[in-house]
Amino acid sequence: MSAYQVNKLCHRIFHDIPFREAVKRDPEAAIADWPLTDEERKALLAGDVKRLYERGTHPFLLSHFTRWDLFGLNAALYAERIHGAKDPE
Amino acid sequence: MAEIVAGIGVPHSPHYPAQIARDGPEPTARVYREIARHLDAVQPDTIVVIANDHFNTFFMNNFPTFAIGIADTTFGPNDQTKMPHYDLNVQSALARHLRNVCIKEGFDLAVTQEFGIDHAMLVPLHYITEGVKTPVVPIWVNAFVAPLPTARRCYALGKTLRSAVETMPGKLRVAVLGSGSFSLEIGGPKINPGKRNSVPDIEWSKHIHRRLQNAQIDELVAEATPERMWQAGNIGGELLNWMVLLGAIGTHKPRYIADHDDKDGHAYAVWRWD
Repeated sequence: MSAYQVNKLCHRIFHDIPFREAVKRDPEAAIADWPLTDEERKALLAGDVKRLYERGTHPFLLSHFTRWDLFGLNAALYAERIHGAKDPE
Repeated sequence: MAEIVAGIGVPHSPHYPAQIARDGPEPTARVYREIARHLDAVQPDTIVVIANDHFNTFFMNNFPTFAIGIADTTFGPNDQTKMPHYDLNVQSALARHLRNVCIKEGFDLAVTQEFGIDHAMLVPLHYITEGVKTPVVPIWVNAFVAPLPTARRCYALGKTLRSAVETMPGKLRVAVLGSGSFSLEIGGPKINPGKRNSVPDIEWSKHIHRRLQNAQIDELVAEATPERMWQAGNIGGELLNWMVLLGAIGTHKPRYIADHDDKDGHAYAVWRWD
């Protein structure tokens, strides 16, 4: 996975407030039409930020999720999960 | 001909406006005021602002290593930073001249002719200029999406900008503002428990502060390798904005440099030669 679509999704969540609210309401439905791989979709819905980071999602974009508790992530949980992640190649 | 009359280096946290509203002016707003006093004294006609975009003006579909904004006006912040909205004038004649000279000299700057600016430019401008009325020339450096340009290349870009300013017809007085952190991690594995960020390498920040104080710029350029900056956090590349600034102003000791901020690892400095 190139992570480009995940980065694009994070970017859209930050800049498009109605879309952000849709993601907050029903994450699975909101991203249903996005051209993500199964692995990306699964990692997003599980709030698996370690995997998303290791596969190339930009951490600045990724950490926006905690501002609005998206994908079940608050700051504490995010920090716990990202700890020990390896830098993407 | 135009001339560079001052250089300014500061941080640009998007949290400052809210923090200052909550906690009062100490110490951040006070230090910015000190910078503003110096800037007033040199009476710049325009400010060349060097910063990195945070996926607000650009995105990965088209992310320039170096870019310049050429338009009559711009606006911001375009990233929901909690601060006043500003419509700004761009010194477009200077911006065009800088781009033309840079390209002639081997720096192929990308150009945008319609853009907003984010906190990295507007937070400093908000604090160091009265009402953000001074026209600006925005220049973006990729300090954010690997691979970053090298410190040497950024420093050389600064030198080229200086010679470009000095061939600009007219009597423009130009200040150069570079902004960024030296050690900062956002959202990566080095963040603190329960937080969105951390300052992973305060010693590196202190070291840079000493280099600036002593005008040991060639040494700093050599030390600021991609690995060294990355060790200081995934935002550690913002030092590159300062590298462009340092190239543009030439090697001088700062007229003013705030004491090192041992908590956030930030530096605030002014270079003047009047």
